[in-house]
Amino acid sequence: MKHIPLVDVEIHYVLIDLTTFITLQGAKQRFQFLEKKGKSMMAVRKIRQFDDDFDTKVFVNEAMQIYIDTHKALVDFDEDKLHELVTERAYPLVINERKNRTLRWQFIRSIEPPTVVHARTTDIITKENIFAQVTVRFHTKQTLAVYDRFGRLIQGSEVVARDVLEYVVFEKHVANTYGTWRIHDKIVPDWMPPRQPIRRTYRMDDVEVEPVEEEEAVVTKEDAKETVAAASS
Amino acid sequence: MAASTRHIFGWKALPSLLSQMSNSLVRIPVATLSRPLFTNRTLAPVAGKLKLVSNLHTSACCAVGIPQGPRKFLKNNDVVYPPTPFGEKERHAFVCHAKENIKYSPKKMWYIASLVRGMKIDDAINQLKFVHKKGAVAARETLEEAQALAVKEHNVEYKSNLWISESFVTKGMVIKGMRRHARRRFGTVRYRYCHYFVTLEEGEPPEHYYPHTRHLTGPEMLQQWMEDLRKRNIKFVI
Repeated sequence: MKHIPLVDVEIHYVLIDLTTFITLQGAKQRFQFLEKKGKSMMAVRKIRQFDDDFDTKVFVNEAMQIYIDTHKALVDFDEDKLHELVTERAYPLVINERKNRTLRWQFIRSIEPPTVVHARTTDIITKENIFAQVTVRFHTKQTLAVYDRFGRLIQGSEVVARDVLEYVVFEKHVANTYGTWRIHDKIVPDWMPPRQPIRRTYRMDDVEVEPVEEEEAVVTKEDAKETVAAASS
Repeated sequence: MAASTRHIFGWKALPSLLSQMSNSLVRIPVATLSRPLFTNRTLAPVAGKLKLVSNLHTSACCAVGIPQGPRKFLKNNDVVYPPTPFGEKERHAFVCHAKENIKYSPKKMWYIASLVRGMKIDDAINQLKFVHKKGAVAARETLEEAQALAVKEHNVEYKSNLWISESFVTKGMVIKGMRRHARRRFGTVRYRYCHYFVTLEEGEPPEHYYPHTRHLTGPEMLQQWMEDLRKRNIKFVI
């Protein structure tokens, strides 16, 4: 498909992607320019200081495997494995509302090969203590079905596959010899279409309904006596 | 008699406050003491923070602590059922809730629990508003909490689409006090607590919660009568 070339507007790159039909605005997408210039390039070089064999093309496949393994661990609810695949910051976000539910997830295929979109390194407290974060773009076909405690479908479908575009941030403590690449966060761009609504209805309690003031006929004691007198006479 | 009462209740351990107890309606419960007086029989088998390995007194009675509330019933809320297979009926949502240590006699609470059993949730709450009993307040709170829980945590869509499938009372702790009678006689006063359990299920309640106690319809009564007639037997005849 035809790609309209990138327009460099300060730091943000604006991409018109006709294949995926997503409305564009400042997307952090840099394809072929990543290797040539910019802070991401310097970050990759910094990572190579610690990890000699670090190559973005090899890394994306590893990242894809971590992504799939995380989903599988979430379905099985294997907490030990999840801690290996996901950082401490991301763990509560991943685990959120997982209990008392059954998940059925299937990875069908990758629509586009995963690409590294963004890379940064930073030092925490001391100058030598380097952490690296790399953002990978995944465009895949997946099925997800979420069932509640009683085995009733809450969300999704086991049969209908959906295209999933995600920007996943992987983090590694490169200064540590035993550091591993783990999922740190997910970036949801502004231009992403809204998610599928849940199947059941729910109350919006925070909306205050103003009471409608009607003119009520206040029947006082005198009026009641009058009506009784009128009826009797 | 006085000597025997001293032996049973551990007279020496009581403060002088008890000696000033009147014979009036005001009963001073022993709970105002630093520790409640428990006998073997009123203790729950597993109590407080210490677990009794056996039913022998391996430690002092007072170290056992206040008995814990119920434990098993609420575990029903953690059971996860597998997804319903294709073609089968969907399972109804349910939520188990309990209110523990209500200061009310279990025997009296039973009437309230029985009133509410098998009713729709809204009807039950409305009825309890007009039941002039102390336990009705606790029962109503339990039902309202259970209804909120069902919607929030157990994926129930409509809060009114619930009925009470289980409603029962169990005995809570019993604190014993004393009251005086005439002629140097003393009686025990039992301050009873109860636990109230409720299971709300999604859907329509059954027409008859107890099918065996329902009124028979006309044709059913006729059939019953005919069967009774046919069962008649003339004794000692070939």
